Amino acid sequence: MLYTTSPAAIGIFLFFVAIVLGLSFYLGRRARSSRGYYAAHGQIHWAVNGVAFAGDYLSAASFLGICGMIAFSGYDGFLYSIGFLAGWIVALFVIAEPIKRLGKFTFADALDSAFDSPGIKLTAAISTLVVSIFYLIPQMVGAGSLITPLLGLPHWSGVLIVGVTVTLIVVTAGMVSTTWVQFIKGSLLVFFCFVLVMMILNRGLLVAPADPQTLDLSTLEALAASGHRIEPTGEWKTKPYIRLQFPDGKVVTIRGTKRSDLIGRGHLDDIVDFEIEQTVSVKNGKKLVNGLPQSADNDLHPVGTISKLPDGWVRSTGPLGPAEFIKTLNGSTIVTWPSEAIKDGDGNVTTVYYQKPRQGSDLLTPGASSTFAGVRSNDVMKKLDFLSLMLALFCGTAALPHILIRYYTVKDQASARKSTIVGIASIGVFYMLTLILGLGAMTSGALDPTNVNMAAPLLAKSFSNILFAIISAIAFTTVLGTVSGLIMAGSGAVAHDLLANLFRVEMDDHKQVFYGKIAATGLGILAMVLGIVFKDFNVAFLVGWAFNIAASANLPALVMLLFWKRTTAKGIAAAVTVGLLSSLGWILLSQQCYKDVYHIDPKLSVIPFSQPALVTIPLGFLTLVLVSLVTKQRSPAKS
Amino acid sequence: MILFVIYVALYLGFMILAAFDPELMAKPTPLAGVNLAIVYGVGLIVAALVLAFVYTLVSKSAESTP
Repeated sequence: MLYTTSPAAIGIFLFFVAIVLGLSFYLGRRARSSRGYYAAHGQIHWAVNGVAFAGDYLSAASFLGICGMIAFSGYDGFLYSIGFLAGWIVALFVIAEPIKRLGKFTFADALDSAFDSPGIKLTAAISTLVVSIFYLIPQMVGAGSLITPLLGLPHWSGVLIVGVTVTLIVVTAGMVSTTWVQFIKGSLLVFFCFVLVMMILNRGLLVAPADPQTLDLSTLEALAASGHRIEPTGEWKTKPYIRLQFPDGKVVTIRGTKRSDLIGRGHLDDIVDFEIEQTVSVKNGKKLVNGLPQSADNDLHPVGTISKLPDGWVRSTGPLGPAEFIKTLNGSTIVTWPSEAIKDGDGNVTTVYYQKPRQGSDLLTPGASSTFAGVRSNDVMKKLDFLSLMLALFCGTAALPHILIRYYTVKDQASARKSTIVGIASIGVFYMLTLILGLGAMTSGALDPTNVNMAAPLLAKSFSNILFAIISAIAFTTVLGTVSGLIMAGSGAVAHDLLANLFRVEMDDHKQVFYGKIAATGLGILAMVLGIVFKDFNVAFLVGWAFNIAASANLPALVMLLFWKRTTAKGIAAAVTVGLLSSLGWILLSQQCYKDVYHIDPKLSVIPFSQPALVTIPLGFLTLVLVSLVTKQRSPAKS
Repeated sequence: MILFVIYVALYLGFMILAAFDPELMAKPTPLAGVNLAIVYGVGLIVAALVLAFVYTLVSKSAESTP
C-alpha cells in the first residue's frame, strides 16, 4: 500500500529525535571516565532503570511485531508475549542479584570474575557480539519498514537514519543517555498504548458495511461479459481463481470457495460462492496492483473487519469492557486476509491476498497462525518445535547481553532487584495492552494486507491522525532505544573485553572510552549494512534466532557459574562455544533456513525441527559439567 | 527459589496444554466467558508480577534480619 506523507508525523518525529540528541550531548559532557561511559556512574535510580529495562526490551519485535501477529493471526502473537515476559522471571529469580555482585561492565566480566581466563574472555566477548548482531538485524529491518510507509522514503534511508542517530548518541555519551532514551521510550509507549486501548474499548466492535467484494453468480456473469478471461498457466492451473482482464488493463481476481479444485480448468457454472481478491505483481520492475500500476487511485484497500457479530448484536456493540470485548470477538466471524504467491507459466509471480472468514474462537486459541499451526495437528515434530521456541523465549531473556549490561547501572543489589520488578510490571502491563491492541487492529478495517508490522500504527490512524503521528514516532524511538543498547553491548565487548583485557592493549581509562566509541561507530555501520541486506526477512524470525543463541550460549555458563562450585574456566569457555556453535549450526541447517534463506528444498535438511533450544541448551549445560569435571579448578585471581 | 519452581510449573503447564490438548484451550471459562487460553496467558503474566512482588517482600525481610 502507498501512504501519504504526513507532515505532522515528520514534525513530531524530528522533535523527539532532537530532544533525545540534546539530552545525549548534555549528559555526554559528564561521562568522560570509562565507568561513566559504560555503567552510567552506577547512579541511575532503580525506578528509572526499571522503566529503562522495559524500554530496552520492548523493541520493534514486541510492539510492532506482536501486535501485527495478533492482528493477522490471533492468539499466537500473544504466545510470544507470554514467553518474552516469562523470561524475566528467570532474570529476576536466578540472575539479578548474583550478577550485580560479580562484574564491572560487561557480560564477559561477570563470567570471568573468578577466573581471569583468556578463554572465557574470548568466548564471552564473541558470544556477546554474535547475539547483539543477530538482535540488531531485525531492529534495523524494522526501522526501514517503518520509514517506508510513514515518511514515504525508501527502506535504506530509514536504516540510515536510525544508524546515524544511534551511533551519534552512543559515541557521545554511552550508557547514561541510552538509559534515558530507554526510559523516555518505555514510559511513552505504555502511556499511549493505554490511550489507544481505551479508544478501542470505547468504540466496541462493528460489522463492516455490506462487503462489495463478494458476488453472486449473476453479477459475476455480468462482470465476466465485459472482460475476458485470462487463461491459467503455470501454478494458476491448480488454484481456485478466475482472472478477468478488462480493456483498461485492470485485472479482477476472483476466488471460488466451493468446488475449488475444478475452477482452474472448469466453467463458470461450477462456482458456487466467490469473492474478489487483491493482487500485487511486479512487471518490468513496476509494481502492479490488480493489473494496473500502483498509484494513489489504484491501490490495495485496507482490510480487517468483522462480518458477523454474535447473536444479540446486528451492527455494532457500543463500548465494551476488556473481557466482554474478547468474549464478543470470540463469537464473531472475522474476515482475515492471508496471501499466497503464484507463479504463472512465464515465471511471473503474483501475490494474491484473499479473503478468509474465520471464527473468533478459532483465532483466539494457540495454533491459529501458519507458524504455529503444527500445534493443532498430530505431528510430534511440530509440537516439539513449539515447545522449543517457548523454551528459547523463556531462557533467552536473562541471557541477552544488552539486558545484562543494564544491571550495572544501579547502585547496589537491592536496587538491581527493585529495578527488575519495575521492569516486569511495565512490560507485563504493556503485553496485556498489546493483546487488546492487536485484536482491535484485526477488526479496525485499517490493516495493510501486505505489511504485518504496520498494524499498530495503522490502528492509531483509524482513530486520529495525530495519534498516528505520535505512535509512529514512538515506534521509531523504540528502535532507536534498542539499537543503542545493542551497540553499547557490542562496543563493550570489543573495547573492554577484547582489547583491554584479552589482548592487553595498553590503555588508560580515557583510551578505553575512545576505543569504545570507535567500536560503536564500526558496529553502527555494520548494523546499517546488514539491515539493508536483510530487508525482506521476517523480523520475528530473526529475533527468535537471537533468543535461541543467547539462551544456548550464555545461559548455561551463567547459571552454572552462579550456582555450581565446581565450575572451571575451561568448562565455561567450552559451554559458551558449544552452545554458540550448536545453536548457530542448527539454525543455519534447519528447514526454515533452507526455505527462506538459501531457497533450497527444505526436505534436504537433516534437522527435525527449526528451533534448537530444546537440544542446544541442555547441550550447553552438559558440556560445562563434563569439561569442568575433567579440568582442574584454577586458583581464583586476586581481585 | 521455590517461587521460581512454582512459576516454571505454571509455564510448563501452559506449554503442554497448548501443545497436546488444544481443544481444552478453547473452552470458555466462568471468567466472563473468556476462553481458557486467554485466561491462562493473562494469568501467567499476572502470576509473574505477583511472584516478583512476593520475592521483594521475602528478600527485604531476609536482608533486615542479620
